[in-house]
Amino acid sequence: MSAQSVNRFQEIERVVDLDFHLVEEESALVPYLEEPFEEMMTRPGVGEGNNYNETKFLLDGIDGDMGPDVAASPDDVKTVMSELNIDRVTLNPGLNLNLVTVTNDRYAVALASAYNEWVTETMLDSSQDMYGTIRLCPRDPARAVEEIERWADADEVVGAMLGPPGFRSPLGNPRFDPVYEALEEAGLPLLLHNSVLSLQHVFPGQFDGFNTFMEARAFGHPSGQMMHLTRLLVNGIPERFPDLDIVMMESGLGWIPYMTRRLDYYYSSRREDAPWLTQPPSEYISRNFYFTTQPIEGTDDPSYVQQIIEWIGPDSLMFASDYPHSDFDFTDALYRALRDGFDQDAIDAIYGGNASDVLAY
Amino acid sequence: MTTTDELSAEEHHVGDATDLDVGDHLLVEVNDIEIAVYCTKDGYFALANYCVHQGGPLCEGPVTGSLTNDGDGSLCYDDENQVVRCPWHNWEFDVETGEHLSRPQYNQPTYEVRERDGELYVRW
Repeated sequence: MSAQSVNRFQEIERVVDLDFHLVEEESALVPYLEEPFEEMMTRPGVGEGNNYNETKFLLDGIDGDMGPDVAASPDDVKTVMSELNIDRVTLNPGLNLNLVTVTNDRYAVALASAYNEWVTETMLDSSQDMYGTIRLCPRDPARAVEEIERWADADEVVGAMLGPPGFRSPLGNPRFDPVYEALEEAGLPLLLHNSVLSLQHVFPGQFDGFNTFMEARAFGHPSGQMMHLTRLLVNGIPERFPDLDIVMMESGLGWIPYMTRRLDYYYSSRREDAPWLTQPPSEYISRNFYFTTQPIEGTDDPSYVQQIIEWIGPDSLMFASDYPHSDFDFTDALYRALRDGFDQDAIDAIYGGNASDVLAY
Repeated sequence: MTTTDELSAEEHHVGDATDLDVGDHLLVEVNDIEIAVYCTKDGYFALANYCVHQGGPLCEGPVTGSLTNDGDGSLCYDDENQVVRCPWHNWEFDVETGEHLSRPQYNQPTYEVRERDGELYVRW
Protein backbone atom coordinates (compact mmCIF):
# COMPACT_ATOMS: atom_id res chain seq x y z
CA MET A 1 0.00 0.00 0.00
CA SER A 2 1.32 3.39 -0.94
CA ALA A 3 2.48 5.52 1.96
CA GLN A 4 1.95 8.68 -0.05
CA SER A 5 -0.34 11.21 1.55
CA VAL A 6 -2.90 13.37 -0.15
CA ASN A 7 -2.00 16.95 0.67
CA ARG A 8 -4.71 18.62 -1.33
CA PHE A 9 -8.19 17.54 -2.29
CA GLN A 10 -7.26 18.07 -5.94
CA GLU A 11 -4.76 15.22 -5.71
CA ILE A 12 -7.54 12.64 -5.41
CA GLU A 13 -7.41 10.57 -8.56
CA ARG A 14 -11.11 10.51 -9.42
CA VAL A 15 -14.13 11.61 -7.43
CA VAL A 16 -17.25 9.51 -7.96
CA ASP A 17 -20.47 10.57 -6.26
CA LEU A 18 -22.72 7.61 -5.46
CA ASP A 19 -25.78 9.66 -4.61
CA PHE A 20 -26.87 12.72 -6.56
CA HIS A 21 -30.63 13.17 -6.53
CA LEU A 22 -32.83 14.21 -9.36
CA VAL A 23 -36.03 16.18 -8.85
CA GLU A 24 -38.43 14.42 -11.19
CA GLU A 25 -42.12 15.32 -11.18
CA GLU A 26 -44.85 12.72 -11.62
CA SER A 27 -46.11 14.65 -14.63
CA ALA A 28 -42.78 14.11 -16.41
CA LEU A 29 -43.21 10.35 -16.09
CA VAL A 30 -46.77 10.20 -17.43
CA PRO A 31 -45.75 10.08 -21.12
CA TYR A 32 -43.62 7.03 -20.31
CA LEU A 33 -46.34 5.12 -18.48
CA GLU A 34 -47.47 1.80 -19.84
CA GLU A 35 -51.13 1.35 -20.67
CA PRO A 36 -53.69 1.60 -19.28
CA PHE A 37 -52.06 4.13 -16.94
CA GLU A 38 -50.95 6.62 -19.56
CA GLU A 39 -54.53 6.66 -20.84
CA MET A 40 -55.92 7.13 -17.33
CA MET A 41 -53.46 9.84 -16.29
CA THR A 42 -54.07 11.95 -19.39
CA ARG A 43 -57.83 11.89 -19.64
CA PRO A 44 -59.76 15.11 -19.02
CA GLY A 45 -60.31 16.01 -15.39
CA VAL A 46 -57.26 14.17 -14.10
CA GLY A 47 -54.93 16.82 -12.77
CA GLU A 48 -51.19 16.64 -12.81
CA GLY A 49 -51.68 15.61 -9.24
CA ASN A 50 -49.50 13.81 -6.90
CA ASN A 51 -50.10 10.16 -6.21
CA TYR A 52 -47.15 9.90 -3.86
CA ASN A 53 -48.20 10.10 -0.21
CA GLU A 54 -45.03 11.62 1.17
CA THR A 55 -45.04 12.67 4.80
CA LYS A 56 -44.96 16.41 5.31
CA PHE A 57 -42.96 17.39 8.37
CA LEU A 58 -42.94 20.92 9.75
CA LEU A 59 -40.25 22.92 7.96
CA ASP A 60 -38.66 19.74 6.62
CA GLY A 61 -36.63 21.57 4.03
CA ILE A 62 -37.98 19.57 1.12
CA ASP A 63 -39.18 21.23 -2.08
CA GLY A 64 -36.68 24.03 -2.00
CA ASP A 65 -37.22 25.29 1.52
CA MET A 66 -33.67 24.39 2.34
CA GLY A 67 -30.59 22.96 0.77
CA PRO A 68 -28.62 24.03 -2.30
CA ASP A 69 -30.18 24.63 -5.71
CA VAL A 70 -31.68 21.56 -7.34
CA ALA A 71 -30.38 20.18 -10.62
CA ALA A 72 -33.34 19.78 -12.94
CA SER A 73 -31.58 19.19 -16.27
CA PRO A 74 -28.44 17.49 -17.53
CA ASP A 75 -26.81 20.91 -17.88
CA ASP A 76 -27.67 21.68 -14.25
CA VAL A 77 -26.07 18.38 -13.23
CA LYS A 78 -22.91 19.22 -15.16
CA THR A 79 -22.76 22.63 -13.50
CA VAL A 80 -23.07 21.16 -10.03
CA MET A 81 -20.52 18.45 -10.82
CA SER A 82 -18.07 21.20 -11.66
CA GLU A 83 -18.89 23.20 -8.54
CA LEU A 84 -18.56 20.16 -6.31
CA ASN A 85 -15.44 18.84 -8.06
CA ILE A 86 -17.17 15.58 -8.95
CA ASP A 87 -15.72 13.67 -11.90
CA ARG A 88 -18.41 11.04 -12.26
CA VAL A 89 -21.92 11.03 -10.87
CA THR A 90 -24.59 8.43 -10.07
CA LEU A 91 -28.00 9.97 -10.57
CA ASN A 92 -30.67 8.58 -8.29
CA PRO A 93 -34.40 9.24 -7.92
CA GLY A 94 -35.79 12.18 -6.01
CA LEU A 95 -39.56 11.85 -5.88
CA ASN A 96 -39.27 8.15 -6.58
CA LEU A 97 -37.41 7.53 -3.38
CA ASN A 98 -41.00 7.60 -2.11
CA LEU A 99 -42.38 5.22 -4.73
CA VAL A 100 -43.66 2.90 -2.01
CA THR A 101 -46.08 5.57 -0.78
CA VAL A 102 -48.11 5.22 -3.98
CA THR A 103 -51.22 3.43 -2.78
CA ASN A 104 -52.07 1.53 -5.95
CA ASP A 105 -49.55 -1.30 -6.32
CA ARG A 106 -49.94 -1.66 -10.06
CA TYR A 107 -49.54 2.06 -10.63
CA ALA A 108 -46.43 2.06 -8.44
CA VAL A 109 -44.92 -0.67 -10.60
CA ALA A 110 -45.80 1.30 -13.71
CA LEU A 111 -44.22 4.44 -12.28
CA ALA A 112 -41.00 2.58 -11.60
CA SER A 113 -40.84 1.42 -15.18
CA ALA A 114 -41.71 4.91 -16.43
CA TYR A 115 -39.01 6.44 -14.26
CA ASN A 116 -36.42 4.07 -15.69
CA GLU A 117 -37.36 4.97 -19.22
CA TRP A 118 -37.48 8.69 -18.44
CA VAL A 119 -34.15 8.82 -16.65
CA THR A 120 -32.25 6.84 -19.27
CA GLU A 121 -33.75 8.88 -22.09
CA THR A 122 -33.48 12.37 -20.63
CA MET A 123 -30.85 12.50 -17.89
CA LEU A 124 -28.19 9.81 -18.16
CA ASP A 125 -25.22 10.19 -20.49
CA SER A 126 -22.20 7.99 -20.02
CA SER A 127 -20.15 10.21 -22.32
CA GLN A 128 -20.61 13.01 -19.76
CA ASP A 129 -19.87 10.70 -16.80
CA MET A 130 -23.53 10.95 -15.80
CA TYR A 131 -24.59 7.46 -14.85
CA GLY A 132 -27.59 6.32 -12.86
CA THR A 133 -29.65 3.63 -11.21
CA ILE A 134 -32.93 2.07 -12.21
CA ARG A 135 -35.73 2.06 -9.70
CA LEU A 136 -37.25 -1.27 -8.73
CA CYS A 137 -40.66 -1.55 -7.10
CA PRO A 138 -40.84 -4.13 -4.30
CA ARG A 139 -44.58 -4.65 -4.82
CA ASP A 140 -44.01 -7.02 -7.73
CA PRO A 141 -40.69 -8.92 -7.72
CA ALA A 142 -41.43 -10.48 -11.12
CA ARG A 143 -41.76 -7.03 -12.69
CA ALA A 144 -38.58 -5.98 -10.91
CA VAL A 145 -36.81 -8.87 -12.63
CA GLU A 146 -38.18 -7.66 -15.97
CA GLU A 147 -36.80 -4.18 -15.34
CA ILE A 148 -33.38 -5.56 -14.45
CA GLU A 149 -33.29 -7.68 -17.62
CA ARG A 150 -34.51 -4.74 -19.70
CA TRP A 151 -31.75 -2.36 -18.60
CA ALA A 152 -28.92 -4.77 -17.85
CA ASP A 153 -26.94 -3.89 -20.98
CA ALA A 154 -27.48 -0.13 -20.87
CA ASP A 155 -24.09 1.53 -20.54
CA GLU A 156 -25.39 4.34 -18.40
CA VAL A 157 -27.17 2.10 -15.88
CA VAL A 158 -24.79 1.11 -13.10
CA GLY A 159 -27.08 -0.31 -10.43
CA ALA A 160 -30.62 -0.94 -9.27
CA MET A 161 -32.26 0.79 -6.36
CA LEU A 162 -34.66 -0.34 -3.68
CA GLY A 163 -35.43 1.35 -0.40
CA PRO A 164 -35.68 -0.01 3.12
CA PRO A 165 -39.27 1.10 3.64
CA GLY A 166 -42.31 -0.42 2.06
CA PHE A 167 -41.41 -4.07 1.68
CA ARG A 168 -44.30 -5.45 3.76
CA SER A 169 -41.96 -8.33 4.40
CA PRO A 170 -38.32 -7.25 4.62
CA LEU A 171 -35.57 -8.35 2.31
CA GLY A 172 -34.58 -11.91 3.09
CA ASN A 173 -38.07 -13.15 2.27
CA PRO A 174 -37.85 -15.80 -0.49
CA ARG A 175 -40.14 -13.77 -2.77
CA PHE A 176 -37.18 -11.51 -3.55
CA ASP A 177 -34.81 -14.33 -4.51
CA PRO A 178 -35.52 -13.92 -8.25
CA VAL A 179 -34.50 -10.25 -7.92
CA TYR A 180 -31.11 -11.13 -6.43
CA GLU A 181 -30.60 -13.76 -9.10
CA ALA A 182 -31.41 -11.31 -11.88
CA LEU A 183 -29.09 -8.67 -10.42
CA GLU A 184 -26.29 -11.19 -10.10
CA GLU A 185 -26.84 -12.31 -13.68
CA ALA A 186 -26.89 -8.72 -14.92
CA GLY A 187 -23.81 -7.72 -12.93
CA LEU A 188 -25.73 -4.88 -11.30
CA PRO A 189 -25.28 -4.03 -7.62
CA LEU A 190 -28.31 -3.50 -5.40
CA LEU A 191 -28.41 -0.03 -3.86
CA LEU A 192 -30.57 0.38 -0.76
CA HIS A 193 -31.61 3.98 -0.16
CA ASN A 194 -34.10 4.95 2.50
CA SER A 195 -36.83 7.55 2.10
CA VAL A 196 -37.69 9.29 5.32
CA LEU A 197 -40.84 10.76 3.81
CA SER A 198 -42.17 7.23 3.33
CA LEU A 199 -41.63 5.83 6.79
CA GLN A 200 -44.89 6.87 8.36
CA HIS A 201 -47.07 5.32 5.70
CA VAL A 202 -45.54 1.97 4.96
CA PHE A 203 -43.70 -0.93 6.53
CA PRO A 204 -42.13 -0.98 9.03
CA GLY A 205 -44.86 1.31 10.35
CA GLN A 206 -43.29 1.96 13.73
CA PHE A 207 -42.67 5.53 12.68
CA ASP A 208 -46.31 6.48 13.02
CA GLY A 209 -46.07 9.01 15.84
CA PHE A 210 -42.68 10.38 14.86
CA ASN A 211 -43.28 14.10 14.93
CA THR A 212 -40.31 15.70 13.30
CA PHE A 213 -37.93 15.49 10.40
CA MET A 214 -35.04 15.16 12.80
CA GLU A 215 -36.57 12.00 14.25
CA ALA A 216 -37.17 10.55 10.82
CA ARG A 217 -33.70 11.30 9.54
CA ALA A 218 -31.63 10.58 12.64
CA PHE A 219 -33.28 7.25 13.37
CA GLY A 220 -35.09 6.27 10.21
CA HIS A 221 -32.11 5.94 7.91
CA PRO A 222 -29.81 3.70 9.95
CA SER A 223 -32.59 1.65 11.49
CA GLY A 224 -33.88 0.69 8.06
CA GLN A 225 -30.45 -0.39 6.93
CA MET A 226 -29.85 -2.32 10.14
CA MET A 227 -33.08 -4.18 9.57
CA HIS A 228 -32.22 -5.22 6.05
CA LEU A 229 -28.58 -6.00 6.81
CA THR A 230 -29.77 -8.35 9.54
CA ARG A 231 -32.40 -9.99 7.36
CA LEU A 232 -30.15 -10.35 4.33
CA LEU A 233 -27.42 -12.02 6.35
CA VAL A 234 -29.51 -14.29 8.54
CA ASN A 235 -31.42 -15.48 5.46
CA GLY A 236 -28.19 -16.30 3.69
CA ILE A 237 -28.49 -13.99 0.71
CA PRO A 238 -24.74 -13.29 0.27
CA GLU A 239 -24.00 -17.03 0.59
CA ARG A 240 -26.65 -18.00 -1.97
CA PHE A 241 -25.87 -15.08 -4.31
CA PRO A 242 -22.13 -14.62 -3.78
CA ASP A 243 -21.59 -12.30 -6.73
CA LEU A 244 -24.26 -9.81 -5.68
CA ASP A 245 -22.89 -6.57 -4.27
CA ILE A 246 -25.16 -4.60 -1.96
CA VAL A 247 -24.67 -0.88 -1.25
CA MET A 248 -26.27 0.59 1.85
CA MET A 249 -26.68 4.30 1.67
CA GLU A 250 -27.12 7.51 3.61
CA SER A 251 -26.87 6.23 7.16
CA GLY A 252 -23.47 7.51 8.23
CA LEU A 253 -20.73 5.33 9.63
CA GLY A 254 -20.90 4.41 13.30
CA TRP A 255 -23.62 1.80 13.05
CA ILE A 256 -21.62 -0.35 10.65
CA PRO A 257 -18.90 -1.76 12.94
CA TYR A 258 -21.49 -2.06 15.69
CA MET A 259 -23.92 -4.16 13.65
CA THR A 260 -21.09 -6.20 12.16
CA ARG A 261 -19.91 -7.22 15.61
CA ARG A 262 -23.38 -7.65 17.00
CA LEU A 263 -24.34 -10.03 14.20
CA ASP A 264 -21.15 -12.03 14.74
CA TYR A 265 -21.94 -12.18 18.45
CA TYR A 266 -25.35 -13.71 17.89
CA TYR A 267 -24.11 -16.01 15.16
CA SER A 268 -21.91 -17.59 17.81
CA SER A 269 -24.95 -18.87 19.71
CA ARG A 270 -27.71 -18.83 17.10
CA ARG A 271 -26.05 -20.50 14.14
CA GLU A 272 -29.16 -22.59 13.59
CA ASP A 273 -31.14 -19.41 12.90
CA ALA A 274 -28.85 -18.74 9.92
CA PRO A 275 -28.29 -22.24 8.49
CA TRP A 276 -27.29 -21.03 5.03
CA LEU A 277 -24.22 -19.19 6.30
CA THR A 278 -20.87 -20.97 6.23
CA GLN A 279 -18.92 -18.08 7.68
CA PRO A 280 -19.57 -15.39 10.30
CA PRO A 281 -21.62 -12.40 9.12
CA SER A 282 -18.57 -10.13 9.22
CA GLU A 283 -16.99 -12.13 6.39
CA TYR A 284 -19.96 -11.52 4.14
CA ILE A 285 -20.16 -7.86 5.13
CA SER A 286 -16.54 -7.46 4.15
CA ARG A 287 -17.01 -9.28 0.85
CA ASN A 288 -20.46 -8.28 -0.42
CA PHE A 289 -21.52 -5.10 1.35
CA TYR A 290 -20.54 -1.51 0.72
CA PHE A 291 -21.59 1.67 2.47
CA THR A 292 -21.81 5.25 1.31
CA THR A 293 -20.33 7.82 3.62
CA GLN A 294 -22.92 10.59 3.81
CA PRO A 295 -23.92 12.13 6.16
CA ILE A 296 -20.68 11.80 8.07
CA GLU A 297 -21.34 12.16 11.75
CA GLY A 298 -18.69 13.32 14.17
CA THR A 299 -16.51 15.35 11.82
CA ASP A 300 -15.67 17.72 14.64
CA ASP A 301 -13.62 14.82 15.98
CA PRO A 302 -11.53 13.47 13.07
CA SER A 303 -10.13 10.75 15.34
CA TYR A 304 -13.66 9.32 15.63
CA VAL A 305 -14.15 9.29 11.87
CA GLN A 306 -10.74 7.76 11.28
CA GLN A 307 -11.26 5.02 13.86
CA ILE A 308 -14.68 4.08 12.50
CA ILE A 309 -13.30 3.89 8.97
CA GLU A 310 -10.38 1.75 10.19
CA TRP A 311 -12.92 -0.67 11.64
CA ILE A 312 -15.14 -0.69 8.57
CA GLY A 313 -12.22 -0.80 6.15
CA PRO A 314 -11.60 1.81 3.44
CA ASP A 315 -12.34 -0.79 0.77
CA SER A 316 -15.96 -0.98 1.91
CA LEU A 317 -16.78 2.72 1.70
CA MET A 318 -17.82 4.97 -1.15
CA PHE A 319 -18.21 8.74 -1.17
CA ALA A 320 -21.67 10.16 -1.65
CA SER A 321 -22.84 13.76 -1.54
CA ASP A 322 -26.65 13.32 -1.43
CA TYR A 323 -26.90 16.59 -3.32
CA PRO A 324 -29.27 18.56 -3.09
CA HIS A 325 -30.74 17.30 0.15
CA SER A 326 -30.28 19.45 3.22
CA ASP A 327 -27.95 16.99 4.93
CA PHE A 328 -25.69 16.65 1.90
CA ASP A 329 -21.92 16.45 2.35
CA PHE A 330 -19.85 18.90 0.38
CA THR A 331 -17.23 16.95 -1.50
CA ASP A 332 -14.22 17.74 0.66
CA ALA A 333 -15.91 17.32 4.05
CA LEU A 334 -14.94 13.64 4.11
CA TYR A 335 -11.43 14.38 2.85
CA ARG A 336 -10.77 16.80 5.71
CA ALA A 337 -11.55 14.04 8.20
CA LEU A 338 -9.46 11.45 6.33
CA ARG A 339 -6.32 13.24 5.26
CA ASP A 340 -4.32 12.91 8.47
CA GLY A 341 -5.19 9.27 8.97
CA PHE A 342 -5.18 7.58 5.56
CA ASP A 343 -2.79 7.39 2.65
CA GLN A 344 -3.47 8.09 -1.02
CA ASP A 345 -4.54 4.55 -1.85
CA ALA A 346 -7.23 4.54 0.82
CA ILE A 347 -8.52 8.02 -0.01
CA ASP A 348 -8.59 7.28 -3.73
CA ALA A 349 -10.46 4.04 -3.02
CA ILE A 350 -13.14 5.73 -0.94
CA TYR A 351 -13.56 8.64 -3.32
CA GLY A 352 -13.78 6.65 -6.52
CA GLY A 353 -11.77 3.44 -6.72
CA ASN A 354 -14.31 1.28 -4.91
CA ALA A 355 -17.16 2.70 -6.97
CA SER A 356 -15.30 1.82 -10.15
CA ASP A 357 -15.14 -1.80 -8.96
CA VAL A 358 -18.67 -2.11 -7.61
CA LEU A 359 -20.85 -0.18 -10.03
CA ALA A 360 -21.52 -1.60 -13.45
CA TYR A 361 -19.45 0.76 -15.60
CA MET B 1 -21.69 47.40 17.35
CA THR B 2 -21.96 51.00 16.36
CA THR B 3 -19.50 53.62 17.50
CA THR B 4 -18.53 57.01 16.26
CA ASP B 5 -14.81 56.59 16.87
CA GLU B 6 -12.40 58.01 14.44
CA LEU B 7 -11.83 55.77 11.45
CA SER B 8 -8.63 53.89 11.15
CA ALA B 9 -6.85 52.77 8.05
CA GLU B 10 -8.26 49.28 8.65
CA GLU B 11 -11.85 50.29 8.12
CA HIS B 12 -13.67 49.70 4.89
CA HIS B 13 -16.72 51.62 3.82
CA VAL B 14 -19.51 49.15 2.97
CA GLY B 15 -22.67 51.22 2.66
CA ASP B 16 -25.22 53.70 3.86
CA ALA B 17 -26.81 53.00 7.22
CA THR B 18 -30.17 54.30 6.03
CA ASP B 19 -30.33 51.46 3.48
CA LEU B 20 -30.64 48.91 6.24
CA ASP B 21 -33.71 48.50 8.39
CA VAL B 22 -33.87 46.02 11.24
CA GLY B 23 -33.86 42.57 9.68
CA ASP B 24 -32.06 43.69 6.52
CA HIS B 25 -28.53 42.77 5.53
CA LEU B 26 -25.98 43.79 2.95
CA LEU B 27 -23.54 41.41 1.22
CA VAL B 28 -20.20 43.04 0.45
CA GLU B 29 -16.65 42.06 -0.33
CA VAL B 30 -13.78 43.28 1.81
CA ASN B 31 -10.23 42.26 0.91
CA ASP B 32 -11.66 39.47 -1.29
CA ILE B 33 -13.68 38.12 1.64
CA GLU B 34 -17.46 38.05 1.33
CA ILE B 35 -19.05 39.55 4.40
CA ALA B 36 -22.65 40.32 5.29
CA VAL B 37 -23.59 43.32 7.40
CA TYR B 38 -26.76 42.79 9.40
CA CYS B 39 -29.01 45.31 11.09
CA THR B 40 -30.66 44.20 14.32
CA LYS B 41 -32.43 46.08 17.07
CA ASP B 42 -29.03 46.29 18.78
CA GLY B 43 -27.12 47.78 15.87
CA TYR B 44 -24.96 46.55 13.01
CA PHE B 45 -23.06 43.28 12.91
CA ALA B 46 -21.00 41.47 10.30
CA LEU B 47 -20.36 37.80 9.57
CA ALA B 48 -18.24 35.97 7.03
CA ASN B 49 -20.26 34.52 4.17
CA TYR B 50 -18.58 31.12 4.49
CA CYS B 51 -20.26 28.69 6.85
CA VAL B 52 -17.86 27.08 9.29
CA HIS B 53 -19.70 23.79 8.70
CA GLN B 54 -18.90 22.96 5.10
CA GLY B 55 -18.26 26.30 3.46
CA GLY B 56 -21.78 27.09 2.34
CA PRO B 57 -22.96 30.63 1.51
CA LEU B 58 -24.31 31.29 5.01
CA CYS B 59 -25.27 34.90 4.45
CA GLU B 60 -27.44 34.06 1.47
CA GLY B 61 -29.72 32.32 3.94
CA PRO B 62 -32.77 33.92 5.52
CA VAL B 63 -32.69 36.02 8.68
CA THR B 64 -35.35 34.82 11.07
CA GLY B 65 -36.15 34.14 14.68
CA SER B 66 -36.07 30.64 16.08
CA LEU B 67 -38.35 28.20 17.83
CA THR B 68 -37.41 27.58 21.42
CA ASN B 69 -39.11 26.98 24.74
CA ASP B 70 -39.88 29.42 27.53
CA GLY B 71 -38.49 27.28 30.32
CA ASP B 72 -41.95 26.27 31.51
CA GLY B 73 -42.56 23.66 28.84
CA SER B 74 -44.23 25.93 26.32
CA LEU B 75 -42.96 26.58 22.84
CA CYS B 76 -42.24 30.11 21.82
CA TYR B 77 -40.65 32.01 18.95
CA ASP B 78 -37.77 34.20 19.89
CA ASP B 79 -34.88 36.30 18.58
CA GLU B 80 -36.74 37.81 15.66
CA ASN B 81 -34.26 39.03 13.02
CA GLN B 82 -31.37 37.73 15.07
CA VAL B 83 -30.75 34.34 13.44
CA VAL B 84 -29.23 33.60 10.04
CA ARG B 85 -29.79 30.12 8.61
CA CYS B 86 -27.30 28.56 6.27
CA PRO B 87 -29.14 27.69 3.04
CA TRP B 88 -27.24 24.40 2.72
CA HIS B 89 -27.89 22.66 6.04
CA ASN B 90 -29.99 25.10 8.12
CA TRP B 91 -27.24 25.71 10.66
CA GLU B 92 -28.47 28.63 12.79
CA PHE B 93 -26.10 31.40 13.88
CA ASP B 94 -26.74 34.42 16.05
CA VAL B 95 -25.99 37.36 13.74
CA GLU B 96 -24.68 39.45 16.64
CA THR B 97 -22.23 36.94 18.10
CA GLY B 98 -21.67 34.45 15.27
CA GLU B 99 -22.39 31.63 17.70
CA HIS B 100 -24.22 28.50 16.52
CA LEU B 101 -27.52 28.20 18.38
CA SER B 102 -27.16 24.56 19.39
CA ARG B 103 -23.44 23.84 18.98
CA PRO B 104 -21.66 26.76 20.67
CA GLN B 105 -18.26 25.35 19.78
CA TYR B 106 -18.99 26.46 16.21
CA ASN B 107 -18.56 30.18 15.63
CA GLN B 108 -18.76 32.19 12.46
CA PRO B 109 -16.01 34.79 12.02
CA THR B 110 -17.43 38.17 12.98
CA TYR B 111 -16.26 41.66 12.13
CA GLU B 112 -16.82 44.92 13.93
CA VAL B 113 -19.07 47.40 12.20
CA ARG B 114 -18.86 51.11 12.87
CA GLU B 115 -21.25 53.84 11.88
CA ARG B 116 -20.00 57.33 11.20
CA ASP B 117 -22.12 60.12 9.82
CA GLY B 118 -24.68 57.65 8.55
CA GLU B 119 -22.15 55.51 6.74
CA LEU B 120 -21.15 51.97 7.68
CA TYR B 121 -17.60 50.71 7.95
CA VAL B 122 -16.38 47.19 8.56
CA ARG B 123 -13.35 47.18 10.76
CA TRP B 124 -10.79 44.74 9.45
